[in-house]
Amino acid sequence: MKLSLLHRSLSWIITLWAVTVIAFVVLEILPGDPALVLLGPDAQPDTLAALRLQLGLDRPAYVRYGEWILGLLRGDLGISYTYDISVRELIGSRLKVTIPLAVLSMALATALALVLGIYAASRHNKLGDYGVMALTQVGVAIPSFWLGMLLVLLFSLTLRWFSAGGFPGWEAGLWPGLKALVLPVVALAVAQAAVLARVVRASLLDVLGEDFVRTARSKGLTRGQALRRHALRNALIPVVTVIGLQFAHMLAGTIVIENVFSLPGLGRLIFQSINQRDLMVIKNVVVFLAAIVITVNFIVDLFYLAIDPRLRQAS
Amino acid sequence: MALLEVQNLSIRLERADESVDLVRDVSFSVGEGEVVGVLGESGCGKSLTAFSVLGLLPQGMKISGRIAFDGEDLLTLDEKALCALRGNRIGMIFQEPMTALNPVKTVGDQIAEPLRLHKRLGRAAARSEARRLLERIRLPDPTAALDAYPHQLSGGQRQRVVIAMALACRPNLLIADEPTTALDTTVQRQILDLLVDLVEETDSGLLLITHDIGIMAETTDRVLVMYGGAIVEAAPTAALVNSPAHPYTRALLQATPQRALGSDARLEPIPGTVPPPSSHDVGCRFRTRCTLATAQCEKSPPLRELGPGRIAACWRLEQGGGTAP
Ligand SMILES: Nc1ncnc2c1ncn2[C@@H]1O[C@H](COP(=O)(O)OP(=O)(O)O)[C@@H](O)[C@H]1O
Ligand SMILES: [Mg+2]
Repeated sequence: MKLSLLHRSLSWIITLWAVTVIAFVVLEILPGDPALVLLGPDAQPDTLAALRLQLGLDRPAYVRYGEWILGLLRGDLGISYTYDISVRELIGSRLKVTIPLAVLSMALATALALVLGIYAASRHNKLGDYGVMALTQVGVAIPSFWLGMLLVLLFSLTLRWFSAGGFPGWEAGLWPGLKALVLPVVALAVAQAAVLARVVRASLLDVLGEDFVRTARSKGLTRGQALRRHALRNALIPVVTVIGLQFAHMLAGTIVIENVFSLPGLGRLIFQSINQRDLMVIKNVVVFLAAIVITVNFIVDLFYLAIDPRLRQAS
Repeated sequence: MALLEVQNLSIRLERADESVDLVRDVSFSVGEGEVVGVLGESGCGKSLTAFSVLGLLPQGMKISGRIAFDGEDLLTLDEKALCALRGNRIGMIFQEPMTALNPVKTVGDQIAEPLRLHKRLGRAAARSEARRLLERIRLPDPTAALDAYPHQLSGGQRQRVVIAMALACRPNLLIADEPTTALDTTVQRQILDLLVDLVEETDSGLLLITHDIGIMAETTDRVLVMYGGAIVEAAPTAALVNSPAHPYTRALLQATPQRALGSDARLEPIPGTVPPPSSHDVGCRFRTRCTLATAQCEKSPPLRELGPGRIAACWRLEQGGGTAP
């Protein structure tokens, strides 16, 4: 277990380092002249030269890379050209929207998926199972931005239960903040819930056919008891894997959804910085998103260890 | 009245396009304190017969006949009543100890489960009873084993745990489906001795399924021989071993290492394989592998009484029936 934690931490660091290299190469070396990228093709030569100097582009790439990494390690991410505040503050304030959005969506998706998947598996090949399968088929097919717009049409413009977008900030209180996130959370969660419900169902059906479930039944457990007490935990192993993968998807999904609902989150930030060619922000946000995804996978690994004693022993 | 009485048990697999005859017209009984063996090659319907007693047949199988346990017809009971019997008054031990236990639950929890369910024991009481059971099945270091996970135990130890689980509520009837097939020979011996001891101790009935004649000869009082989903011969164990009546029983005996039976005749494996249920027709199902088969065997032979407690289904019993191999 110790060795394996060490191993996983090492791979966490190496992966993150690789991300910084890729981000740096793609954003600062491949385009040739970042100053030109920033100012656009119509820029005056002397403005360009001034910006180059300001950005330190006159120095060799490896020095710039080194400075960036040292800054990252110290928590100093530089200053955004377009917002003119420290990138660290910028990311920090945006995370207050994106993290709750992603975590709540994932939680909602997981809860829905467990309920639907368990129900479908316990009704295998019956009407309830077919119903859930049809429902998830539809859920998988609906793009989240389109669902978001439908939700706005119904709940904001027609019923006027929620606002159509925007975020009052957590300073306005917990409830107004959460209320602004309800529709985007639902829009993001539905497709993920549909995919995950299918995984839960398939995994449960798999495990329900195992010998130890029959043993549980031979001890006098009802079908439902055997499912809950014996099959479910074993069935969660592939489900947790998929949740980890979906979290990355979910983060990507926030880019679209935050734009649909005009939420000041990380996804909207990356979208805007790409538009404004704010390299300093893009490169740091990319690393940040990668760090979140890798960390989630790290947590998924810990879940495996918690669920399956065989892995605890092996490592 | 016997503890378990099975009459004319038939099991069919009903599919949209076909209906296959898996077990046909099986009748037998198991008395209190009696060890009844079920013998036959793989695929002869032994496990399905066992599962049907517990009401745990795979989905899509239709069952008919009568299965009376302690005078009550199990086929008429509802699911709730069956759950109250399973693991409580009828215990079951499965063929494969490696997969019969839940890999993510501790041994202690799994043994305590039927006690908490049927005997309503609290957590602590169930745990100490589980410990006592582990001691009784002679597992080394029972206290440590309570908190062990199945993968930390050897195959033999796991099968002991499965036995402890099946015996936890002191069932009146124990069904053991090839309990030692997956284990090596020395461990087989120990497990069987343990099983027979425990059954004698509690005076429960034991239905012991096996395809090993050596085991059968040493542990059972009576034997049913199954072939192609039907009983072809039933007899007291000594009579069956000394003078097998059905050609299939004789072939099985000849295919067994004779050391186990105390003679030294030559080993002759049975040529051919058990026919799949989809090929079942009206004739004797063993005729395709039988050296005595004639045109008459195209018709199904009835079970005939040969003596006290002895029956066999063969048209040609007179041609070599009742003699030692
Ligand atoms: N779930 C099932 N679906 C279809 N056929 C089955 C199923 N289980 C068993 N069978 C068939 O029923 C026959 C008897 O099986 P079984 O009782 O397991 O035999 P045994 O225990 O004597 O080896 C076999 O031919 C097997 O293929
Ligand atoms: Mg079997």
